[in-house]
Amino acid sequence: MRSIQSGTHIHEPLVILGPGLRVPRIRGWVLSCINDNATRQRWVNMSRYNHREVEPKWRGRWAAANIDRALAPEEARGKPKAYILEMFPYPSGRIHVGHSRNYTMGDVIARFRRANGYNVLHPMGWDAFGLPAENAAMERGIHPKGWTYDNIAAMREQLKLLGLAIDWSREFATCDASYYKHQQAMFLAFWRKGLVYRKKQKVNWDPVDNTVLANEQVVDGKGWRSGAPVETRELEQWMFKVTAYADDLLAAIGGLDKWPDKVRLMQSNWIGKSQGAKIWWDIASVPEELRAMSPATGQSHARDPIEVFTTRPDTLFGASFLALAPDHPLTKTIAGFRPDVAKFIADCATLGTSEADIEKAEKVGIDLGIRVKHPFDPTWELPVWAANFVLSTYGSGAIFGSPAGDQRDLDFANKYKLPFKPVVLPHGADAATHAITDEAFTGEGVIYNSHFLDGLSTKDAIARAIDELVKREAGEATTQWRLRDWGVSRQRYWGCPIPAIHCAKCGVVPVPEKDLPIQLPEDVTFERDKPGNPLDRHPTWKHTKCPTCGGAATRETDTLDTFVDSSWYFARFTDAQNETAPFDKKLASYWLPVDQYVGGVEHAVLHLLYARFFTRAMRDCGYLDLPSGEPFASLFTQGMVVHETYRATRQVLKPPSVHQDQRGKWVIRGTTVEVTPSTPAAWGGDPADVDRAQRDAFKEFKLPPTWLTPDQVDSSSRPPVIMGTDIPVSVGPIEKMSKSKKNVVDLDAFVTDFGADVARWFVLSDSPPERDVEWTASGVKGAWNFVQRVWSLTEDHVEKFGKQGGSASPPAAVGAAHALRQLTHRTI
Amino acid sequence: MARCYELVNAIAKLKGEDAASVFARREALRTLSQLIAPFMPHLAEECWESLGGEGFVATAPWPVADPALAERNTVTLPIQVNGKKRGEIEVAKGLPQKDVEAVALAHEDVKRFLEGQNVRKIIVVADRIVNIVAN
Repeated sequence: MRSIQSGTHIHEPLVILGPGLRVPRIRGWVLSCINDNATRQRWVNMSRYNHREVEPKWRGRWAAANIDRALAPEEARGKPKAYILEMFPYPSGRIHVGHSRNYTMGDVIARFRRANGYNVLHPMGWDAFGLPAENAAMERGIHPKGWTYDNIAAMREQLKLLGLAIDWSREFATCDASYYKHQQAMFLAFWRKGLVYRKKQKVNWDPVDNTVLANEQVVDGKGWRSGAPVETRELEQWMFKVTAYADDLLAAIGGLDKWPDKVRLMQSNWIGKSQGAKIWWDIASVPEELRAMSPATGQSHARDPIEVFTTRPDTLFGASFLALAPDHPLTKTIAGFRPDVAKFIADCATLGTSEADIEKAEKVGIDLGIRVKHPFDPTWELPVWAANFVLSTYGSGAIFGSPAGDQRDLDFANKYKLPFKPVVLPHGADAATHAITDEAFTGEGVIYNSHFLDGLSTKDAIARAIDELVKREAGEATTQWRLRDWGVSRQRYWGCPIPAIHCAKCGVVPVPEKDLPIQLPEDVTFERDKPGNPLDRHPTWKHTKCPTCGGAATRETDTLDTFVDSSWYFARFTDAQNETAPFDKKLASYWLPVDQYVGGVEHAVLHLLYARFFTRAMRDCGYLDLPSGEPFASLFTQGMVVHETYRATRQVLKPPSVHQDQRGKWVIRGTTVEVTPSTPAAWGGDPADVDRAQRDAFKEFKLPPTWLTPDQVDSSSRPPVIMGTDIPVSVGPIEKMSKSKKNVVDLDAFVTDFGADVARWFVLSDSPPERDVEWTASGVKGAWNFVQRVWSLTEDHVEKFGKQGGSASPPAAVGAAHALRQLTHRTI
Repeated sequence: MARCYELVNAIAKLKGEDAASVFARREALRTLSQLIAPFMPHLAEECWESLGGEGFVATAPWPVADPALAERNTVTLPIQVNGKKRGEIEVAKGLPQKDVEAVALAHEDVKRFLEGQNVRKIIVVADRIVNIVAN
C-alpha cells in the first residue's frame, strides 16, 4: 500500500492507537467516540489518509499560487462577479466548531461559484470595537487594543486552519484607524446631508455597563449584555435619521426575494408602518380641579381635545372608552390632585417599559373622571381611562377602545364592565345572532350597527370614516411608524470617536476633514469604581481648539455605536486598502450588492436594517452607485451547532480520589475537574477551633454543580460519567455552543485530531443548513469514515491502474460500468 | 451531500477490471473529487492530484454532465411473487415484455422464492410492476 504518511510528519496520527501505544494528547470525548475496541480497530485500519500532512500542504500551495485573490474588474475578462460574505466575527478570543459553520457555508458557496467561472470576492475582517474589550481591560488590566489585536491574531490562524478560500489581502479590523477614519468622514457627509442630528432624548441607561442602550439592545426591560434592569435618563444624543428612508426601507423588502420570509417579516414588523387616522375627541366634562386650572398655568391642554391614533376608524361606532398611557400629560396632570392616579402611574412604572413586558402584564386601568364626545355623535359621551397597555411612544399615547374588535380592549372592557357592541360582521355570520363575549373578532368583514358605515367593507368603511372625520374637522388620515431614528452615541472608550467639537461660542461644530482621523488616545485607565467614559476622564485628549473661532473647546467624548462599524464594512472590502476614500466608487459599484450573505438570524433586525439604511445614505451622499440601495441581494440565515450540556452532580469527595495538580489546584484524580476544599464554615465545626478546621478542610472536597466541557465527560455511558471516574454527570439540554455552558468543542484541537475537512463535512451534514445541527460523536465518526473511504477508493484505483490509467475516450460501456457512468453524470 | 454518499457506494460496488469499468471508475472518482471540493477542499486536492488532475481542483471548471448519460432512461420495477414484493429490477424504459420477464426471473431473491414452485402466470404492467403467480 502506498502511504502518504511517509516523510517528515511529527505527530502520530491520533487513530493509530493500538493497545499499549502512547496516545498523543488524546481528548476525552474523542476517546468516548472510539471507546470500544472493535470500532477503534476499524479506525486504525482505515487511517490511510493523514490529514495532518495533507491539509497544511494544500493550504500552503493555495497561498503560494494566490488562488483566492479576487480579480479587479478589468482582469475579470467577462467573468460574472460573485461577492460571497459571512457576517464578520467579533474577535472574542477563540473560535469553536460552532462558529465554523457560518464560514464553511459561505466557503462552499464561494468555491462552487469559482468552479463555475465566477470572479469571486470572499473576504474576511473583524468587528473589533465593543464592550467586551473594555470589560477585559477592567477585569484583567489588559488594554482593549492589545486584547483585541491578540484575539484577532489567534482567530485568524484558526480560520486559516479551516482552509477557507478567503482573499486575505483585504482583511481589516474596524478598530484600525485606517478604517474608522473613513467612517468619521462619512459621518460628516451624513451630517451635511441632514441625516445626522442631535436630540435630547429619553434613553435606556444600563446602570451596570454605564452606557446608553438602543431600544433594540433592551430585552425584557434588561440590558442585552449586563442583564441589569434598564433605567430612563435624558441625554443629548447623536441620531441617525433612519426614518428619512422609512418608506423605502419598507417598500424595498418586497424586492428582497432571496431573503428568508421570516427575516423579511421581522424587518417589516420592526419598521411597523400603520396607516390610519388621528381623531380629536372633544371634551364633554372634566373634574372640577381640572376646570379650575387656568390656561396661564400652562395646563390649558387639560381642556383641549384628546388626540388619538387608530388604524381602524371603521370601528368608531363600536367605541366604548378612551385610554391614555400612564405617562400621558393629561394622566400626569390628574395625578397632581388624585393620589389614586399617582399610585397607578407609579405601579405601572415598575412593570417594565418594553412592549413585551406590557404585552404580558395584566391589563389594568383607572377612570380619570373625564368624559369626551363621540366625533360622529356629540350626544354620545365616553369615559376616559388611563391604562397600562397604552404606549406613550406609539401615536399620541392615547387610543379609543373598540372592544369587539381588539382583544386587549375587550379584556379591559370586560374587567371594568364597560358597555360595547360589535360593529364588524364576519363574512357569512348572521347579524341577529353574532355576539362577542370574551373573544374579539379582529378580522375584516361587513360593518353594521354603524349608521352611515353600515354595509361597507372594512376597507371602504375606513376611507368613509376618514372622509367624515375630515368634514367634521374631527380628524385626518395619517401614517404611523414604529421605526425610530437611531441613537448612535455611546459613553464608551473602545469605539469610533465622533468627529465633533463643542464650543461655548459656536455650539457643536464638525471636525474639519483634514484633521481626520480623530484617533483614540492609548493612555487611558479603566477602573471599576470610576464609572463613565475613560475618554471623558483623560486629562488632555478632549481639550482642543474650535475650528470655527479658534477658541478653547472640547471634543465630543461619545463614541459611535458599534453597529455603525458593521453597517458599511461590506463596502470597504471592495477596496480595502484605499487611503483617500472609504472605497472607490467604481469598485464598490462593481461588487455590490453582496450576492450571498450568510449569518445568524439573531442579526435579522438591527444589523440588516442599519446596513440597508447606510447603503441608501452612502448612495445619496455620492459614495456609491447602487440604485436599489440594497446591500445584500441574497441572505442565508444558517442554523447553529448545538451540543449536549453537562453538569457535575453535587458531591463530596475525599482523598485519594482528589489530588493537587501541577498548578496547585485541587482536581479529581486523573481529570481536570476542579473541586474546592470544604471551608471551615461549610464543614460546620467550631469556628474557634481554626487549626483543626483548616486541617479537616483538606479531608473533604466539594464538587459543585459546575458545567463540564465535553472532553471532561465520557458520554458513551449512560448516565455519562466524568472521564476516568465513575462520578455521574447530569446531561442538560442541547444548546447552542457557548463558552458559558462550556459545551464547546475547540476548533484547533478538533482540526489537529480529525482534520478541517471532517469538521467542514460534519457541520454541513445531517441537517438542512438553516436548521441547527447537533454535534455528536457518531456524526463526527460518520464524516471521518467518509473521508477515509473516499481516499481509500481513490488510492486503490490509482495503485492498480496508475494516475492516468484506463483509456482516454470512453469504451463502449455496458451493464454495471454503464450504470456508474450514468450515476456520475446524474450526480453532476 | 447525500448524492456524494450514493456515488461513493456505487464506485465501491463496481469491481470490474475491464477497460469500461476502469474508465467508469476513474471518471466517477475524478468527478467525485470535484463534487466534494467545495466541502472538503484538502481531501479533494489530494484525490485530484492522485488521479492526474491538472492544477488545483479548486480552480478546475465544474464538471459538465453528458445529457445522454444523465437522462434517466431506465425504470425501477418492483417484482411481486404471489402479491408480496420480493425484489426490484432496473430495466430500460419500454423494454419488451418478454425481456422484462426474463430479467425478473433471473433476480436472485425471486429465484429463491420460486424454488420448487411452478410459475403459472407473469403479468407485466409496462414500466410499472411485474407480478408473478406461482404455486
